[in-house]
Amino acid sequence: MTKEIAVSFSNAAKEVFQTMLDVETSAEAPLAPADEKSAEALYVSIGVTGDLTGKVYYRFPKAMALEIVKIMSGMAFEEVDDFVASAMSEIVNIISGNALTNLAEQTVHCDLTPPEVLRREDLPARGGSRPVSAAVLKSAIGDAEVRIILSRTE
Amino acid sequence: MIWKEKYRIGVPLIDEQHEELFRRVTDFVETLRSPAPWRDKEAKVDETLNFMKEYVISHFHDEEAYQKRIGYPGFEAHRKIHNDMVRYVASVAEQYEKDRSDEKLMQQFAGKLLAWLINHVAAADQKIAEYARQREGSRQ
Repeated sequence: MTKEIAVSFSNAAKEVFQTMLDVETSAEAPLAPADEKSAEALYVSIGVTGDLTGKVYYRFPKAMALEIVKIMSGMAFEEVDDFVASAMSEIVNIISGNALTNLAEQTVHCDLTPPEVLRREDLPARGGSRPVSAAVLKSAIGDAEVRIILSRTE
Repeated sequence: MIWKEKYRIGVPLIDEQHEELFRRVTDFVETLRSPAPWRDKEAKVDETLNFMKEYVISHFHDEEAYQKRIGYPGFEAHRKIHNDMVRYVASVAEQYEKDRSDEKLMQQFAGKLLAWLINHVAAADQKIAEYARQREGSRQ
């Protein structure tokens, strides 16, 4: 199931980038963990409840987040402020909602909790007991990472 | 925000309403992002919140009436998306009434509105147009 979940999220992200931003992406398995310590990035998590429980973490390099909001608004941004963080959180909400719609077709029914902007130090440590899958969405405006930490609800 | 021809669903009333929503949200975002002091932005905030509270409801009503007319199978799911947005706008308006100096709230509102509107028009509403085209095709 881990693979189906990862495919649902990466397909949803690819579709959202194409439809909303006219940006093409390709999903790849990460070769190595993103260098979270050196690059400035926006981290957004979203909770999943229902047949699956856990969280999905999105990482957007700062320049990519600013470019996404620029594409949507037609305005330039220099910092990830409340406006940018909120717009990107909504993008995360949309991608995750579409991913859950894809999963519902495979009879996995879940709901989302509101997205949260995280500080780097709030990210969960890599490893642990829950199944984790990740994908990197490569595009001309930057590479986003989706890390999925979900397990079947008991 | 840039209106794109591909956003049209082929129903003049709905397309005009979408364009108007794009214009209003663009004005709102431009005002909010300007370097002017907050007191100079309050009139635009009031105008936008009042507009959104009323126009969104009437636009959603028109859109839902069209969906019903063509027997759109995603009607219930689409209506839920509309209802969630109406509740969100009402909740923001209520919070703003309690603290009219809350610029953070308005920046967050504008950011979400921007992404929500683009997705709704570029993706969710296009499914209605796709269904209408298929329906028309199967009739010919």
